[in-house]
Amino acid sequence: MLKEVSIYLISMRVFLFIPCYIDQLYPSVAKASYEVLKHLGCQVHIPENQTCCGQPAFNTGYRDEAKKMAIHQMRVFLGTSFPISAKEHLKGKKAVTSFNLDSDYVVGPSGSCIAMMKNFYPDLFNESRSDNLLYEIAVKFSKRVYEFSEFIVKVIGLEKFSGRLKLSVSYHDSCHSLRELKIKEEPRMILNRIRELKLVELSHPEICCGFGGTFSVKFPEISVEMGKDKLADFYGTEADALVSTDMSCLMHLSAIARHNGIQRRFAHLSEIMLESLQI
Amino acid sequence: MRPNSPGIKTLYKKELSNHQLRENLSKATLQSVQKRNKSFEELDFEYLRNQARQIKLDTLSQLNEYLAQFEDNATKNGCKVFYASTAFNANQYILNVAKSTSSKLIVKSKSMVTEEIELVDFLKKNGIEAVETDLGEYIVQLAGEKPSHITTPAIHKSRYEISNLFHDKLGTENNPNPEFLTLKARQILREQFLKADIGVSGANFLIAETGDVVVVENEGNARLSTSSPRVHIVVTGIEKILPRFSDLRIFLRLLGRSSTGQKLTSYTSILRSPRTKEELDGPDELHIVILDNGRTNLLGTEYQEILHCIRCGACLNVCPVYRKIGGHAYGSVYPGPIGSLVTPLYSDMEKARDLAFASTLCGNCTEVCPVGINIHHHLLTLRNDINKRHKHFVEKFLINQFTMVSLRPKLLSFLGGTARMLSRLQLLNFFLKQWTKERSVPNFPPQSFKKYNRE
Repeated sequence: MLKEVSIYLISMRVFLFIPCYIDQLYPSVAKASYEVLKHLGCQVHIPENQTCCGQPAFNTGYRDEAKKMAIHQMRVFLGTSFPISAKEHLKGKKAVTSFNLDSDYVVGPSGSCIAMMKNFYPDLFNESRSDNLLYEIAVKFSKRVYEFSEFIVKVIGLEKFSGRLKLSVSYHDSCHSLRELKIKEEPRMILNRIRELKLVELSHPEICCGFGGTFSVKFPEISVEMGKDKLADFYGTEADALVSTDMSCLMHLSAIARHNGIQRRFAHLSEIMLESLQI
Repeated sequence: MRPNSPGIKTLYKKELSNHQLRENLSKATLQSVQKRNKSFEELDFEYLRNQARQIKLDTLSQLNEYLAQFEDNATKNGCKVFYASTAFNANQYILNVAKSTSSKLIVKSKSMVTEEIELVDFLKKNGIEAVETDLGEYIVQLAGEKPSHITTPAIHKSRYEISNLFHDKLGTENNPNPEFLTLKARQILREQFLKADIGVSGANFLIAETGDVVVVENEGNARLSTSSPRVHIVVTGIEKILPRFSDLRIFLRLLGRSSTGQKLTSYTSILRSPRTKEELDGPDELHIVILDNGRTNLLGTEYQEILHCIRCGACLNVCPVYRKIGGHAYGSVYPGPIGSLVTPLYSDMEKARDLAFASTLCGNCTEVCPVGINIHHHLLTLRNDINKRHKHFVEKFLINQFTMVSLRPKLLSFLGGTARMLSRLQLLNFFLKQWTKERSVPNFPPQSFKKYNRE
């Protein structure tokens, strides 16, 4: 009992961010992220009122709409730490969570949505310069935001994790993880730490899968053609599964594969980790 | 750039469906990328590009002063400098030079600016023939096409296609051996070099402190074009200026590697003046036409750094979209990621409606840009700017609805449940037409995570 209490007191507090499409389409990824973080000794909270990070609006060129979602998100996660001085943004619902800006973290299983919250939230409020307060909040907030694999390697420490899983996988670098967040080694380090798991690199792991959010419906034929290249690369490795830190890439790729009657496994890194823990 | 020419939305499908084209592009661009990466292994790319960026920032902050300094020095060296604010002014000036020197034939080395002002067509209408002498440009001209790449204009053609083209137009035997084809072109072009009255070239750099014009190339055709005919006309953009001669040590290292993976191109010509009394070769007259044509629109705006571009073509080679559709699909002189910025921002903002969106924002362009232009983030900014000018009502409505729903997480969950129901009834496909042509609808699990978590 005492041990449990002390773990509770010294453990890291993580506020888990569940991207809206993961919530709806891939609850198993959300579950896996939750379980893995808990297993690694984190105290995991899931703020109920969290919502879309705003990326669809932002990437389609609607910054004002994206700002509204950014403010909502920061309010939900920061809770009582959202400055009272930003009054006009506090009307309505009461803050429920208490977020410590020095020690708590926001972690999410999506390079793309995390890039939005970590890199583009400050950008959104920086450009206008009219709202310095929101800019300051966004900067402070962004420093606490981590993508799932980076958080595990850089904050928790890889030594806390050990798993075993007989599986061969290829890793697809999502563009937002790789180029916006500069995450390249972290997911590979995690995969390589799983005993009996074999990582077979793609010939072109860093080429975009073709999803690109709004691009996938504005130029669907190009998007699919790019996806087919990525799939051919994956089939060529003969690995059991294609793993990534972004389900959006995998959603696009698996949709093309299924359309062509091909059944292959596409999995988020957290799902592979949970499986390897065998809990 | 003609304002009403067809844009990417009307052109890309045809190009994409050309299997041969996709194969040519994929092979050529992947090879270029590989060579580029290898050539930078021995250098600190980040250091060099930061140096280049600083020099460009300084140059653009005092562009007028540097241009004036260049003009002063070039004039002292015996060159004639002409500022053209528009494509028409530039063309008119060149035509006047041709008329005053009673010239009939022009040999041209590679220059994207002459494509931008459509010089060859303009001269043709005025009875003057201009022959492209860069092999790639020659091929494209022979085929009656436009360049599909900034530095490798015939990248869309395989050697077999070129062999067929030569057979049709020049009556050569059908031989796809690159050496054979090059020799044939060389033979024909030699005669043109000797006959030509004027040589037209571009410029990679203009050096303010010395008045020098720097031209890099691999085939020697630019050196011939600039030294053999009686008159040499340089056509270039105002952004090509560099303050000091010593800046070349940064830029030459970056340019060759970024475009072709070469440490240095085979020829680097530094041209200072028309032929002096002591010299055997060189033109009697050297004209330098410096073009604005919309470039100064960018000064002082958040897009200013786009003027850093040294036209290396690296962003085209790494672009997965360019790799699928090629340069012609963009419907503009400058294709690829940098073209999607330059085209709307220089002259034709309307084109941003599609060009700004013809990117997955993968950021590979930004990663390789040797002068540190944040290309894909500028595309994002451009999306926002064009939406403000042009209300796309359906899209705006959808985004507004989505925002409204997202700000009410309970409603979002409820609608998620509705979509779940529709997907079970196979009704979702109706709403996702653009998605489902070649992709299945994602399988909805029985319940969302939030719902699961509450229970």
